[in-house]
Amino acid sequence: MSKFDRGVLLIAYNNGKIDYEKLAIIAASNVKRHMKNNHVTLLTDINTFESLQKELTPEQFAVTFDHIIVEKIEHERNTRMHRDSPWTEFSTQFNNKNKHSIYQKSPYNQTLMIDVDYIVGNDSLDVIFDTDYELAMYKDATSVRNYKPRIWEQKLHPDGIDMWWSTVVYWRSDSEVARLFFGIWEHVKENYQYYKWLYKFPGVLFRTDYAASIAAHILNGHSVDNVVVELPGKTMRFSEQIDDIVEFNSLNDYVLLCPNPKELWKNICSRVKNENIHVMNKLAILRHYDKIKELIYE
Amino acid sequence: MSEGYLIINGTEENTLEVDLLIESIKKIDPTRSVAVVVNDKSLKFIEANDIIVVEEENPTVLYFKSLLASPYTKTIAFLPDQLLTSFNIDIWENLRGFDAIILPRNRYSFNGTIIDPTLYVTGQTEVKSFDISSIPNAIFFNKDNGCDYIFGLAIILCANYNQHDYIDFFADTENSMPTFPKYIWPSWILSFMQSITDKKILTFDFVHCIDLSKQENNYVNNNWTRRWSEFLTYWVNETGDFKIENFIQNGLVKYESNAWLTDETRTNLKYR
Repeated sequence: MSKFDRGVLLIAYNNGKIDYEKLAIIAASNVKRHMKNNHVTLLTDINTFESLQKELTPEQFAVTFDHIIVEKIEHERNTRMHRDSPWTEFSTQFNNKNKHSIYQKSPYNQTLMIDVDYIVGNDSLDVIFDTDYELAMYKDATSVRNYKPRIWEQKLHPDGIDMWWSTVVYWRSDSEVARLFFGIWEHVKENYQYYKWLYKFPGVLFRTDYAASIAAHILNGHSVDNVVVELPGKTMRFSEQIDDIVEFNSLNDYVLLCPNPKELWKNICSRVKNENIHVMNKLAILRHYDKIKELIYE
Repeated sequence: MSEGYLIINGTEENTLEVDLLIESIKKIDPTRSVAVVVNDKSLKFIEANDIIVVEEENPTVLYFKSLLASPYTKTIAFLPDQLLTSFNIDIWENLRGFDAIILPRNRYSFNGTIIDPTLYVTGQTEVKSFDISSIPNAIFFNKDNGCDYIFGLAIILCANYNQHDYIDFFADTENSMPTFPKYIWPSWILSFMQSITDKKILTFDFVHCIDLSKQENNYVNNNWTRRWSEFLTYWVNETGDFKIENFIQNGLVKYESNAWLTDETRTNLKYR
């Protein structure tokens, strides 16, 4: 496979409860509309690809994705609890265990991988393509209520290492640092129980954020130097799983209803405009899918 | 123009710590000498190049007298309950061109975060008195640039220290400042000297000071009001790397209590 120079990589694997192909359409369209480096590749499996073909006309398909990689893949079991607003919980398969393989699968020399629930609303991430940085992610995050994430999303343990978000990852394919980073990520995945014990973090879910954070820490020589660079903006804005989306005014202008985590019946409205946001409540996005699709292909 | 390291406050009680510190310095910088200031002439440290005896009852006067007794023109002095696991010896080149006295700017926790000085009782008092605090864990001084005058003045100040006079003069009743102890402490004097001398004392991190001392005022994480080795996981591996909670400790590590120095850790430290 010949390599493209620069582009954005998305990953979508449907799991029966969340339509990742629809999220991928939204994510790709936002990249197309708001970024200059907007060559988009979708990494997906056969089932999701078939859903995608049903969802889009050939013309729509052509303007949304530039390149598709369809894998024949059997996903490893990884069950995750999701919340959809404060009042609904559901568990579903979370297909993330092969995320480290994006290093080998990316068709780009310079890749920006973004999760499909990361809504790009401006061109700030374009800056990274013009740097000589080899590997970049976000370490800090701020919610749309302007709060820090929970302690387990700041550090793996209160006395432990910082958590790096694997939501957005940038790397250069010719970078030795990047090659090592993804290799260590895979090693951590394969020995997850050991690293869970060593780094003292809770839960049974395999979190790519944790695997990536441990890889970054090991690559730093178990020290606090940073081989991994922070992405432009330095802080990733996010909306929590308990947040709901009230309405979309345009692709990068929408209103969220954000409950106070300690008093869930108390909400504030937060309007997001021209920002990149990691919207963790995927079903909240999908509830507005028809309106968003209209906005995309109008 | 001689340069060397000085370890102060060597006593019969801390020979183990002093020996470990000398060993760790020699491994990193075998070219420069190490001198130890002791309070008893019978004390011997095999790896030390010089032993200097200074007898003084007042601990703060002893601190400054020990610095003055350095046999080197340019000295980096360390407190004894520390271990040097990493140090860029090229920094000597920069230190030569700077002021009479240089102190570290920050204390770092084992995980690289900067420690707020007000978490320590002494640091809080210094900040309340002068809006600055000083870190005595390491100090560079240059006799060619007049450090003798500063230390001389410091000795006069602490020799004439009077607990009640200081309370009357410096006490800030509005902010309920803690009372002064029987002896004034060295970093208080250093902070005072920093605030009254112009361009004689500089602060910058010529050594990465990792401080594991108790933080008496840490109400957020009150584990730190206990000894660190009681609540943090630590080990020294077979190659002598000292790790606390997955972080390799690279710098000047102030461990305060020697409770963690078991036979195994001491043996492994030798492999570094």
